[in-house]
Amino acid sequence: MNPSDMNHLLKNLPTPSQPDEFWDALPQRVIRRLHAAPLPPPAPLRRGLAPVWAAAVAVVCLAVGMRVGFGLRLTEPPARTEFAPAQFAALYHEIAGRIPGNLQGIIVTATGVNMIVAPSSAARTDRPLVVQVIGADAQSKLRVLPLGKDHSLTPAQPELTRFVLARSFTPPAAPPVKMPPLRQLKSPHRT
Amino acid sequence: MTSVDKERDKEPALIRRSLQQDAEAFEALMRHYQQRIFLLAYRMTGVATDAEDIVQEVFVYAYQHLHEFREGSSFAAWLYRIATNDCLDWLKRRERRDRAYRGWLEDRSTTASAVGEMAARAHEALLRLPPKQRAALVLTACEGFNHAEAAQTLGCSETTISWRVFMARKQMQRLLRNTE
Repeated sequence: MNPSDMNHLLKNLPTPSQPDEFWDALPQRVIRRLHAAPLPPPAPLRRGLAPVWAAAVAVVCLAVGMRVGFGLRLTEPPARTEFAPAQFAALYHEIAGRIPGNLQGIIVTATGVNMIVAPSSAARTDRPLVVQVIGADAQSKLRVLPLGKDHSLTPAQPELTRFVLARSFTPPAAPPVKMPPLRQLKSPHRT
Repeated sequence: MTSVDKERDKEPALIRRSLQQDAEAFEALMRHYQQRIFLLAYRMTGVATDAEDIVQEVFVYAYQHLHEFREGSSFAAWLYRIATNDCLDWLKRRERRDRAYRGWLEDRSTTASAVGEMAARAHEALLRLPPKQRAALVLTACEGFNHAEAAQTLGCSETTISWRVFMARKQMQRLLRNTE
């Protein structure tokens, strides 16, 4: 069968002949439907717009999620307030009293108190070091140089961390007040 | 000037009036196109009652979205596009598609005597074609669209239409041979 024969055949396919009443009534039925409650649009455009809507919803969710996430992060209060010099002193004395002669420094971070302890009491320095780390990353990679020589701290990520360095205070002869026992004593070496 | 041409000349005015909620104008548009849309739906679905439903849906949708019709373009192509998409959507539902085929087989027993056996077989073969190939063939062979118009109606390229028509004809030939 050649294409023209097939075209002729297809054009003359049997089709139902609806009565005239049907054609007369059809427009009125449509008009009545249109006057009734608004109908949802039929499938063609819904199908076409579905991916667009899905993408739009995804973008909005992403934007809201990022806004909320960054907002919470930016408005998060500092984990710990800065220590006053008197508090440094009290803290130093309490810890030094537990391991006399070995304590070289104290690092206070948002997650707790870290100590720098010499292997023996002979390595003790008379200039104690107390450092409070305030900043984004309480587990920031601090590198503590030997205290007896330099007393300096070098953060691996300086943009993330701020240091409050207080090493020149004079420890009083006796603790001004009796402090409750520390709960967060870590291992002898810095954690 | 033929009556069809006269009707076509009236179309822009009828569309503008329909946009202003003029029901009579839209009714005139419906009367002009309803049988053509019905035939398209019937050829696509093979079930007269479903074709009736589709015609209603098409006109309801067309009225509700008439503001999206671009003035100056072909209203017939726009309407056919809605109708074809509606038919394709209908065909996607396998259950209804199967029912359509069964329904057509039942109808065939009552109408086969009145129509040529060859035409009946051709219709059966047409309903077995994949929906998009069927749409391409119905628009080009039955409705007389050229490939560009069919492409515009179906929202694809002319090359795609040409390929679908080619495949549809090939498949039709095979199906008709098998039913001999």
